[in-house]
Amino acid sequence: MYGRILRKSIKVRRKRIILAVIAVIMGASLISALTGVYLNIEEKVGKELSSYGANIIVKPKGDDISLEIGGVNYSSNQQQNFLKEDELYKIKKIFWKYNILGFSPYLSTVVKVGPENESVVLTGTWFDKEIDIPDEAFKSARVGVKTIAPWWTVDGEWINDEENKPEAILGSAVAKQLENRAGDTVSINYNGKMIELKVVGILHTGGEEENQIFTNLATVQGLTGLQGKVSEIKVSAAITPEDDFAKKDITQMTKEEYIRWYCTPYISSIALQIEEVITDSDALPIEQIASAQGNFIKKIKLMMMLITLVAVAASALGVMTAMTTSILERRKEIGVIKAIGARTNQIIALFMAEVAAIGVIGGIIGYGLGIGLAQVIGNAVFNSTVAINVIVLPVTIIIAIGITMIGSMIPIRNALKIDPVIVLRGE
Amino acid sequence: MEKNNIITTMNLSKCYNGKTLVLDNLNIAIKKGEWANIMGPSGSGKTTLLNILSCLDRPTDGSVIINGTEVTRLSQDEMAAFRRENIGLVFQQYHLIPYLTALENVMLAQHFHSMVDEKEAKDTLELVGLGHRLDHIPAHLSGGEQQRVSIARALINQPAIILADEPTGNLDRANGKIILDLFKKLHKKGHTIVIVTHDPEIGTMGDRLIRLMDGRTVNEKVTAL
Repeated sequence: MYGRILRKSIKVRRKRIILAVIAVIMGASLISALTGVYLNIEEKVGKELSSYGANIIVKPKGDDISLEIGGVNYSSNQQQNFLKEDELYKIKKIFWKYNILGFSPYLSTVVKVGPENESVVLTGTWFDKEIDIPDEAFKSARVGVKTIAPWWTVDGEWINDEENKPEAILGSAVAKQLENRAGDTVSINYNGKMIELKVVGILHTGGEEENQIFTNLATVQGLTGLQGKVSEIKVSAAITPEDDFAKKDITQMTKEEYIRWYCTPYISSIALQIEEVITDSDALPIEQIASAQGNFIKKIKLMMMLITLVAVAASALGVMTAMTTSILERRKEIGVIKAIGARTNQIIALFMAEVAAIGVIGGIIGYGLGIGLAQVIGNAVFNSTVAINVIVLPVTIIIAIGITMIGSMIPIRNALKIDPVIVLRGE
Repeated sequence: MEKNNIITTMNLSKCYNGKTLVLDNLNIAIKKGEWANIMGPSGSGKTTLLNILSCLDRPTDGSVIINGTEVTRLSQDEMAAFRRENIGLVFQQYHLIPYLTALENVMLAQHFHSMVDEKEAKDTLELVGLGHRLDHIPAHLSGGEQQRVSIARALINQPAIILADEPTGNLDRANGKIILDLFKKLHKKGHTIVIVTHDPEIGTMGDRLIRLMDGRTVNEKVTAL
């Protein structure tokens, strides 16, 4: 019987119901869109923030007492420890592999260049390289300095990692000093060993890299006799903000706490996972960048929650207006059903069924619109699509029903107060 | 108090806003199976009395015993339950749910009472001569037909008493006659009927005529059917 009453009552008052449903759709679509974005935000904002640089530096174990100036290790090769190049792919195989946005290996040494034999740092690295990742669904990954320092710009050409030619990119300060331009050749003297590199581009970074010469990793390995070795890896990872739990000493954690910590993309847990796969390495989080990223994500999440709350409140107000009008129109009907003996809970159930129907319809349509809205937000703000998470549908519907219930509470209470004697008299 | 009285009011008073006395120390007794008509000029308190007997309103003073229950002591929900079980209401304006069919309007009363029984609802509409109008909404029924649906709705839960407020007030003579014939039929079957009316013709029907004036009974007389 409720079904019949509900169907017919909705049909006959469809304008009011549509208004209420529209109010719910507006709230639900915003909730659906923002929840969708919220669930993606760590990855999206993490990726955005990765443009501010790597947040983890991986160094050989015990390398912290070595002589390092301007990012270059001045210890002799015999004293210095190195990481293995053939283990680099493992960084994309850790538990949080999808959060590794990029990494690049470095091998630096001091060389003499130019007619005045000036000391300059020569750094070998990967620029934009596709590496195979065995036994993973994604099969390969794009790595290199371009993935961790996208703000670097080059006048001329980038070095092609695959071709392995004797080429160099000069930092703009070095180029100015040597009066070199793209197309020139630069002579490199490493402990009396000479090589000539063709300058393909001039690098602008706004940092100390402008005082260095960059070339293929293999070129520096060949020059220094350190085949298959790298001195440092910079990693850019999407992380979750460090909370109090993240700061707990892991040696004091229970097994359950450790699993929770390990399975959360804190910068410290990702760093540990890198250490686990790179032999004899120390993975050091760059705290300032990590905490700036974390705080930024926290603030964006808070802002989104506030917007969602405002959307819920506005939507509930819309529903309340529509339901109040609807109940005013139905005063006589309520008076009749009270007069023929309806119980209080039967009257509540009658309205709640309508409220739930409005909530479910509004929630489903709102969810659909929200998915579209999330994509618009994703494209406008993050320049990428937002992954659809199935959990958003039930969440949206539950919140939509909640909105209609909150919005209908006062009108339903007023309906229960209707005195049949008065309304049936036509007053 | 006589044992076979189904409705008894004792010193019943109703006062609005502490000053307007609508019912003044009213004592009425209606026997089981009796048809009593209540007449009186506007403002004499007939509708107020009917509302109190219907358990829709409460008196300011006095007591009302219906079917052995002192109804003035009941809570709001208990009054609704009592009404559901014991009283069938027929209104001058019919008060049908406009978007439900004749059959659904009758079934609605079943729904709020206990369980919906479509066959029983159809039979009751047959009884009031509307077997052919089951699926019509009120707007597609004449006034007389709407009132007959309203009577079927009042009868569906087999109440002990049928209370009607100006049941023919909005009807032409022909339709009014159909409704009154229906009441006669119900009375013969043993229903207790109380009708509030302005219509002197109805006043001549039934077992008793209770005249009200300024909230009191005057010249009560027994009529013959």
